[in-house]
Formats: sequence, C-alpha cells, structure tokens
Amino acid sequence: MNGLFVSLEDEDFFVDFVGAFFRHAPEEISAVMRCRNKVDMDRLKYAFDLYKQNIERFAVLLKSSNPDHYKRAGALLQALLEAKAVSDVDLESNSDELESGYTRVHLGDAEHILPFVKFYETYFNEMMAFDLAYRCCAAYEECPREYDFDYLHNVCRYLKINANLPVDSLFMLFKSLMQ
Amino acid sequence: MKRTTAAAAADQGDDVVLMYPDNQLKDQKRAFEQAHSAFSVVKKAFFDPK
Repeated sequence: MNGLFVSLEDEDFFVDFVGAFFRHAPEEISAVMRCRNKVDMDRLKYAFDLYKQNIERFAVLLKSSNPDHYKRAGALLQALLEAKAVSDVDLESNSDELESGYTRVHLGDAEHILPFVKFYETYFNEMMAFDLAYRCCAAYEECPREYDFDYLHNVCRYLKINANLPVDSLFMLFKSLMQ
Repeated sequence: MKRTTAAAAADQGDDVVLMYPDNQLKDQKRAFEQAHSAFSVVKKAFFDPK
C-alpha cells in the first residue's frame, strides 16, 4: 500500500485532489467575508507534468527507481510553487480596505482577521503548497514532526523570496524537518 | 538518456558519488487528513487567545 504518492502519479487524481485542496479557503476569513482561492486548471496540469518530471529525475538516480516520501514531497512542492496553481485569492475586502474601514465587514471582525489576511494575501501560494506537500509527507511518517507558526512563516518567506529553488533543496527541507 | 547515464555511472563504480543512497517509498502510515495542518498553525498564532 504505497498510498497517496502513488495515486498522485495519475493526472486525473492529481488534478482532482490538489484542486479540491487548494479551493479550500481559510475558515477564519470565510466566516467573516467572501474568500475564494482561484485555482487555474491549466496550471494544475502543468504542476502535474512538473511533478512527474521531478519524480523521474529522482528515479534515475536511485537503484530502486522509487523515490521515498521526502523526495516526493520535495518534488510536489517544487511543482506546485513553479506552477502557482492558486493563481489568486478573491477577497471581499483586501487588507487595505479592512485597515481603512472601507468595507462592509464589522470593525471588530476586521481588526480580528486583519493580521491573518495580510499574511494570507502575501503567502497564500507558498502556504497552500507547503501545507499540501507537508501533509502528504507526514502521512508516511511513524511520528511526523510538527511545526509552529515561526517555522511556517520562515518557510513561506524562504519559498517566496527564493524563486526557482532546486527540487533537491525542497527534498532536504522535508528530510531535515522530519528526521 | 539520463537513465543510461546513471546506469553507466553505477557500472563504473561511481554510484556512491552520483546516485542517491538507495531507498524507496514505504507504505502510507496514516490518512492525509490526520496530518498537522498549516491552518491549525495559523489559527493558533492569529486567533487563539494567548
């Protein structure tokens, strides 16, 4: 039972699974105002192609030809980041509007969600991609190591600032975190 | 082409340098939904009272 990572090698499963995951907007925002993640289907298919290429690249450098879950998580994260499958976030009111009060959102609610809205506006793609790849990786661990917000913020910034990271560095991110 | 190159390197004894340490995908241990979620992390950071 090699599970999820094997299923992700099928394009239809990949597009359905990743698409459904990415469409799920944070409830803390959507409970207060409209918040939709825009998922581009062409970019999802592009992400699948990149994922397969990354897996094949690892496979030729392994006697087993069957990369482990750290390499697959790195391959997935690299593909999702490069494809930018979450193309945009459709917010009823953006952080500038919430901050200025130019919104129908109640002032108390606006102040409550503003810090997270700012974070999410900046890092939605990196956060969603890392979340998905981490959870796929963790599903294969006996005792997956969890992370806190400080780690998540650092990872999101690292992924955003450093475009075109090699898949090896992302594989090492998961291997270092889990071991 | 890459497979041929890697295989040739292995034949020449360079596999320790060029190849990854051998391993393979093991069985899945738990459901994806059971894994720690980034949303739970941000919820704790931004919304749970300290």
